[in-house]
Amino acid sequence: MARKAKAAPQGDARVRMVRYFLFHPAAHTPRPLKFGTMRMLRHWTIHRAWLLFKRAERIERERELETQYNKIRDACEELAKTDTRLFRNAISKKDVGTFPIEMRIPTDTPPKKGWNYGWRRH
Amino acid sequence: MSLLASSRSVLGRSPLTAVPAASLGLRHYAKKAEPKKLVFSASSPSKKYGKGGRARYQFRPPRYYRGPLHPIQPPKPSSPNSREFIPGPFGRERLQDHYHDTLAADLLTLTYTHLPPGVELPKRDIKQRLREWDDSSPYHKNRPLRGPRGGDTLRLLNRPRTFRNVPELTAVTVHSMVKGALNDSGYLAVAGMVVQSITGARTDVCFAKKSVAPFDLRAGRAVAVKVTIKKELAWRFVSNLVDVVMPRIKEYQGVKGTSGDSSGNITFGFTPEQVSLFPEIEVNYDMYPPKMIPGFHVTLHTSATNDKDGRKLLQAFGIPFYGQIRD
Repeated sequence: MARKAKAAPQGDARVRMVRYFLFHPAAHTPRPLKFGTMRMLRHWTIHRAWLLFKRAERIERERELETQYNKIRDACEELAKTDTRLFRNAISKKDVGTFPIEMRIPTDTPPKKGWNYGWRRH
Repeated sequence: MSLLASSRSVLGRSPLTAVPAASLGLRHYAKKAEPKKLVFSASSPSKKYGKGGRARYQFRPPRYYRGPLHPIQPPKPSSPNSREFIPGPFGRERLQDHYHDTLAADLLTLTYTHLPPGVELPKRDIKQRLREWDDSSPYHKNRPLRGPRGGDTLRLLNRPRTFRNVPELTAVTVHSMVKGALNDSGYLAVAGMVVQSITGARTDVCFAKKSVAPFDLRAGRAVAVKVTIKKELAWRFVSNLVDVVMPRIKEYQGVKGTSGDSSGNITFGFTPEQVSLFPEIEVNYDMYPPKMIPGFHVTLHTSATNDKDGRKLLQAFGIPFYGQIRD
């Protein structure tokens, strides 16, 4: 019996490739890792240490913000005792500025001419 | 975790071997109490496990989660033998560090509200925010409370700023509706791949809820893909947006000043031409049919309770806003 000729695949080859990689993830996802006892222990230790580090970091950040908040509040209280007008200006929400658009996210490797010394606001 | 349990039992045996059995009058045990050298090191475990140092019993994570009552539960995603385990992190997110080092303190100062010490905020009862019915009709009995004045939705409470509620980025949602998907599902596949490669997370498919005749929409048809990313992925996405994509868009005005859902989440969009500027798309632009590259909407979820603070956070990231600013 003659075999039927295979039907040519339909549609765009690029879309077929996209479909393949989206819907057959098992073909290219690795198996779950199997570690030996000691390696697992090592991994577990490092993982716990990382969690501890993150926790300490979080607490430290929060404490810093708390200190700052307390200082601002104390300063405002002090101002209220000293000068009411200045205090009203200090806590007013009018004309509170925002972040300048020129502000950049700092990098480890800034460009050589990254800093414009001649820059003026206007 | 069974591996850990077995290793603990090995470690627990060493003090027993240290007890001189002969001194206890146990002569037939004395032979076994020969000073055996138990050496534990990270590279060469005890001989019990044979070559390669692998335990004979290996926990095999189940392929599927069979519910909370099944005796075999999958390991935690943090455990390397979990199927959901993702190695990392391999570096710090620049924007996240910048936020915690600089922006959080600045935002606290900019949005500070003064609360004199000793003054307590009045407690907001839900019955004060939702109104009672005025019993003019007998049908008002046992009805749930009326919505607030001026709208049906109960707005978020704006509590005074403290060091605990400084606005932060909580999540990013990328949503892409592709009209072509109604006729050709290839559009949806390409949109899924584009969004997945940009965000680094698997997308979900959204289905049309209602039929809308002018748009040729029919209820139940797959029309969109969306994904919500959090933590490192979200920070990475935003810093990519600010550092790479937005500066490369020709004559980019920014985000519309009136955007926002009045609870601190701000949405903006990108056209297909702008999407192809993302570095993840640009590196293998030839992988996608050019007309199939979708545009998408990005929602930045912040922990701010109003748009004003949410926008301030985004301005701190470096996202420009244009037009009339509505807070």
